[in-house]
Amino acid sequence: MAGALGDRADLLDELECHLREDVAESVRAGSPPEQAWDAAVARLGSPAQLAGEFGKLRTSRWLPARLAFLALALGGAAMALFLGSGLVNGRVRPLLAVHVFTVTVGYAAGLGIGALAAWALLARAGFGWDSTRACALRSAAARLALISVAMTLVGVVLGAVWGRHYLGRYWTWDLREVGGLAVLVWGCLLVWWLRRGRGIGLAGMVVAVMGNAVVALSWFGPPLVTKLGHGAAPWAHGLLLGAFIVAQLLVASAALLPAGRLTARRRT
Amino acid sequence: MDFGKDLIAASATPLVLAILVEGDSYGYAIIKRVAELSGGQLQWTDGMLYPVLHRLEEQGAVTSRWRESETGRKRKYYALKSHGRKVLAEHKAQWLVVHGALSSIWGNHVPA
Repeated sequence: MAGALGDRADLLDELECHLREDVAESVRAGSPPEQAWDAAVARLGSPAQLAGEFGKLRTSRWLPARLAFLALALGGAAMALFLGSGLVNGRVRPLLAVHVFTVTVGYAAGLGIGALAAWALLARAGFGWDSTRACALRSAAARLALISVAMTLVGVVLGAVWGRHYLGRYWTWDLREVGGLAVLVWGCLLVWWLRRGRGIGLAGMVVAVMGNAVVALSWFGPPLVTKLGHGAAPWAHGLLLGAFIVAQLLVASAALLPAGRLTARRRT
Repeated sequence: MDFGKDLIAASATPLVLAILVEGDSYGYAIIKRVAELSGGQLQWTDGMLYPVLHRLEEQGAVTSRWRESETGRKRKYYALKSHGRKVLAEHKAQWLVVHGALSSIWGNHVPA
């Protein structure tokens, strides 16, 4: 049953609860326990039937996931137009343009996972959470993780080729290269975890939100360090980056709150 | 009496919502209430009810919460939301039209 219904632990708990109630009532009515159990399981339906019925639920209708993919598509299109105009004007070379595009989309997809997880944590704390949205989150996170890994990998490889061509070495342990590697490793871990069928529980949401810190530090940390190295005092840049990371910690702390605080308060 | 799958499917949502108007409830109790309301004629399977409940929750018509039952075990209760009341009102209006039409024609012509 668990295999057929995937990682919907909440749903399995609910069905187990139902089975117990059904069996208990049958036993109270005089049925032998084994007969009561067999009848209750028969009334529940086969795992394949249940999975088929639940499969019809359109988990992709989770609005935040749709918004995340839309934002990624629009951002990617805008970046492509910007770089394309640079190519036409001769401001940027093709290799660098494709490198910048793929890294940007890869990083943005990584941030998208964190954004969805942040939304899920806050929604859970305010209004509660359910297995349908958990599945939608898992599905969206898995797709975004694949996009992030694929694009970042291409970006890292192209960056290495660019480095070989212009700096004489494929890898110089530049902070941006290290950042790209960090995002790549993070993405691969996430893909591996999600493809093993593990749902995104609270711990997963917290880890995904902290992934935003990994991406932000990889993306905006190197330019900050470069500016510091040249004697500049990039206060705004540093403050923004610091504030963003602190914000992720605050959002992650929402996991400590009980679910559905706002709906609970309305009922009391 | 055998009921058509389409009829069972069409009536599931308004029945579940109407039962939740009576108060918060859980899956097993909802199935029992449906059987009670239909005089035992409608025997829903669990495989039919829970996808309906989850779909209604996804659509924002109902909300769910785990609570401790009288036996001490956790049980998932469903509650109607304001959007669910609107959905129920729409279903009710539609079913009353169908009921009225069928009552009119069956009232005049007794089926063989």
